[in-house]
Amino acid sequence: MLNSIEVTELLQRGIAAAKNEQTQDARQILLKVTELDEENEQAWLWLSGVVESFEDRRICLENVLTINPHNGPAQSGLHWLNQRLPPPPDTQERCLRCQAVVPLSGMICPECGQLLIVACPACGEYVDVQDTSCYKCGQAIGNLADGARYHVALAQEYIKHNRGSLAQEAAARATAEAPNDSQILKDVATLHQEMGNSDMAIAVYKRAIENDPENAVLYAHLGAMYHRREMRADARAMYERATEIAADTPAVLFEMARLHVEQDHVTQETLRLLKQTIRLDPKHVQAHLLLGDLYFEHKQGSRALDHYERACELTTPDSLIGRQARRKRDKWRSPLPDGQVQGWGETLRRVCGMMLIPALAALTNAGMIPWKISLVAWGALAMAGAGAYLCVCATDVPRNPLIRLVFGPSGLKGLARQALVGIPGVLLWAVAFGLILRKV
Amino acid sequence: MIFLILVLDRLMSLFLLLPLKDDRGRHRSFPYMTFGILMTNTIIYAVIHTLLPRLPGDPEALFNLTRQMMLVPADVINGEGLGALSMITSAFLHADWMHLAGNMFFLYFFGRKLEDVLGPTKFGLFYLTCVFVSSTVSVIGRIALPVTQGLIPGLGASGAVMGVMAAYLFLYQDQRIRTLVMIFGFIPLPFTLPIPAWVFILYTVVGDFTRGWLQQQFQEYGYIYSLVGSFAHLGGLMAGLTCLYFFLPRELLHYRHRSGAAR
Repeated sequence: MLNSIEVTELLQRGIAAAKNEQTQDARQILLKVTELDEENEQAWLWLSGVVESFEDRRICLENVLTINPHNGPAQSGLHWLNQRLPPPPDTQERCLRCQAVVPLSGMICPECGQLLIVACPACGEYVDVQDTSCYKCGQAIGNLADGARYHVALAQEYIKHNRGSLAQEAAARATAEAPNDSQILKDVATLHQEMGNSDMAIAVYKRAIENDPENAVLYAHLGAMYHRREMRADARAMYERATEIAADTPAVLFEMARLHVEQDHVTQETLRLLKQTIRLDPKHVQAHLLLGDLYFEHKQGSRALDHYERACELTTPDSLIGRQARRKRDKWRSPLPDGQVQGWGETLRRVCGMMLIPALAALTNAGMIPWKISLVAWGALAMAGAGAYLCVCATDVPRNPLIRLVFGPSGLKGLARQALVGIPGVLLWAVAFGLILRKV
Repeated sequence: MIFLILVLDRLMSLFLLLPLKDDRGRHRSFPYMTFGILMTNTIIYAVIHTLLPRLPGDPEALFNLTRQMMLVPADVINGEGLGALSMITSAFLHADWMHLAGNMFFLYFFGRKLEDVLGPTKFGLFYLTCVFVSSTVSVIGRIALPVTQGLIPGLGASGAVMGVMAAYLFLYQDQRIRTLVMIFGFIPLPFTLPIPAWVFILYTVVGDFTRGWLQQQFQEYGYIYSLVGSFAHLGGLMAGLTCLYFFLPRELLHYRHRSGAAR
């Protein structure tokens, strides 16, 4: 942040540039000064001399007079401009809906109640409702033409930026705009839910159900709300109604399963509900996590891990649910002990993997009779084995016991060491395999 | 018995199952090895079936060249021909474009998922291992059939592709694969079915078993039932299920073992 001395210095530089007729530099510097200090009379006055259009010049001079109505040069300059320019257009603000003249600082049209300005969710600056983004920070605001959706989206942004009261106002406006639209009401209820206002959320869900009594998702959501309030009988009634209407709705199935889990009533039915949820909606992160938890409790680690990994794939690491998924996965997938990952057993397993091909090739060339494999082929196999061992050391088991003995406890750390061992390994293996293929 | 299996085999051959999508996402950016194998097969097919026949020369010589590259069990046993090398070369040859397209389609679907777990180099090694094991089983199986005396050459990537499919089954038996069912091999049903991976692969395995068994039965009466390399397919399946052990990351193996013990 620049202090007043630096602003003054900047102003002096701007004035000097203007005097030297470096118009563009002067304009940039003086604009910067006005950004930093909107009340700087001198800056506005000098800026009026370097801006490109008469219209801009008029704005600068008007600003000077707003700050100091007795500024002589500004008065005469504006007078001069007014003689040359046509009168400005009607600057009176009008309401979008009823076209009534509205006060410049008004938030709502006094005639019809139409919103005139909204607070930017990110910076809090008030912007015109017709603007789709904030002029100050660039945050997307939305399009007023979307009606109630506009207010819902705005409320979501307010929640994201911890502006609870603004979010509530936006939610109220959305409800007022579409009082009979069950989808909007559902979204508004979700907003209340996110704001921790469960009474309001329940009331709005009920209103949505009145408008659309055959919507299973609404019953499921209301059930979930009751569920959170520990009104289990009501929750169950709502879930049952939801399943009556639509047995194949992922949200309904998931909420049913969650109710089972929270009531400590996990059965095969719970698993079936969760699996069915995932079948219908493979990207249902919460279902993956819950199913992972159930498998984890039943000591089916691999299945649990599969679902946790899927949940991780579907979420970003910085989201709340993403972090939760990663925590669960990592808790289960703790690193194995070094002895197990870098021991002789692991080395042998890897070497065997690489030896299958040359061994089968040698066997084939011997007419599928092992004792007919020639001595040279046995030699080539031994060579392939050595090559395979070196390759494996360079890639999968860089700290196996022999390597640690030769290179120290850190083993083959670093690309140079890995190349030193790996490249001869690959060459040995390839040459040996080539020899076997040539029927030696 | 033979009649029932024959009916079963005929019924199964009416439906071709094409996997379209499963629920697994992939972590790695591009399946280089799968794509490389796919391109190699396609280029070799294009060269042998399109380019070489147009060049001036003896068509008989071209036939002999390609035959030498095929896997002839009798030659392998007698130590003639290319020997073990023919196992590799035959895996990159295909009889016609349908043969090639079928194999490559399955390789593309299952190979990408497996390469995602193993990494490109290990996937390449695993694929080659499947080629060798399936070819070995095919040689032994065909030699065991008395009438043809192992003279019918084998070709195609089917054995290795079957190995890749088996490895997928081992890793993701719970997955559901969105499958397009083609009647008579070319009329698609207007919808896709979510078939569990194990059912999908079991269907292929049962098909190979019945065909292999019928091949053997028909041999006894002096007929050739089918030229499809069922033994190679079954060998590939064995390779996929057993050799995968040598290529899987230790963590994955460890956690599968733990969960298997708990089950």
